[in-house]
Amino acid sequence: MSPRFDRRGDAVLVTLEANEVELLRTIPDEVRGALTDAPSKDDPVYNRLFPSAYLDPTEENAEQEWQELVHPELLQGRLAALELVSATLDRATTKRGRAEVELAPEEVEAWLSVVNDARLTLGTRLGVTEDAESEAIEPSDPEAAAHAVYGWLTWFENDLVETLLG
Amino acid sequence: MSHVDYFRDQSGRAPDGAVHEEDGLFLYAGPHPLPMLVNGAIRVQPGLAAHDVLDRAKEFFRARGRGFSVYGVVGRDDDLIEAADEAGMTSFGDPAPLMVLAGPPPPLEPPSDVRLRRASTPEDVAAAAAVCADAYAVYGMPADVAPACLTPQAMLVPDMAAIVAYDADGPVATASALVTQRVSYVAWVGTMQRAMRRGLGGAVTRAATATALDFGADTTVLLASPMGAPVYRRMGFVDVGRLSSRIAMGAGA
Repeated sequence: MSPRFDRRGDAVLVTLEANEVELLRTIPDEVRGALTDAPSKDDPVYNRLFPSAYLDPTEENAEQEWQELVHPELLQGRLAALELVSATLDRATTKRGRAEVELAPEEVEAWLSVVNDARLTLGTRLGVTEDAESEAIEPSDPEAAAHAVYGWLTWFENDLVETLLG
Repeated sequence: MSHVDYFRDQSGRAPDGAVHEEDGLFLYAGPHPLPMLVNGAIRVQPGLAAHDVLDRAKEFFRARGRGFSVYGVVGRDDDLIEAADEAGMTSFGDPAPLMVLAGPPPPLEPPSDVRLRRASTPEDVAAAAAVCADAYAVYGMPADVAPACLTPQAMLVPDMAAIVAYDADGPVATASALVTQRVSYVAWVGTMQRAMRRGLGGAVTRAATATALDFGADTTVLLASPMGAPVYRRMGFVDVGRLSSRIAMGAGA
């Protein structure tokens, strides 16, 4: 799999293999579930996506107030990004078996947001840590496929960021 | 509130600096008259009336002959930003993402021709200031602001993890992280324009963050620029909110 990103002024032209489009289409639903399903402070995925703003346990009231007032805006922004990713995939055109879509700057931002949330969600479920990130996964590992997707998301995000910086 | 902790520390160390905290309002005057970032008002008690924040900030900065910034968290301080707009204060870009990283950042090595060094001498601090003066010129920051803020008195202190990257031609990038109450606040991240697009900003931020963890921090906080936000998210930082700012350009305007 080899997504390609080409800068076109402020926009980015993305070229994807069919299986990459298929994978990306599944991400909005997966991420939407992680963002909205029964949020709980005991859920490691929820805590990874929405860490506390106040880190001192004595500031519990301030944290609660922050979550009440600031969380809805954060959540709304992330859900809007999911919609934008789905919409941009819908308008992709196919050339020689590959999908192409040109992303405006705000759409690039949405893609980065969604891919990053997907990477954080999957990485937390897999227990990926700084040390484990570079460890090889045996093909026989029952989670090998999920690790491969995590690796692809990391690479995809990295490549898109590098394109923006370059 | 690491934002407050950072400016309390740094403004308190500045020769012309001043900090005033009273009745839910934090006011700080830094080492340079620039209204953006260096001089500001932060409402720490959300219930404090917006007009009270603005009136007290104007009085504080008028006495110092300076303009100032007022900050507000989107969703929590919308009334304050609205009042600043009504008062004719100027918007300066989109709200900036407030980001948090719990634990260590992933490994990120600089290119082989670049060496990273913890700032431990006045020469290192001058190098960091030169880098930021060049880097922040992109945003229109006057060249004398970074040298006024990045001084040995402010930077060569026990809880400051400041990193400078050098290549064969001199300093190319810098980042610093101040540790207060087990939280490190990353600031003054910059890359010389001649050395951009080499991943140096990420490398120095990673090094400053890791050094701050060695100093006892377990969490890192930063306010991201539009250019920096995707890089920080790639490092594992997560948005916890967005911070708006409004500027009063003239003295206590």
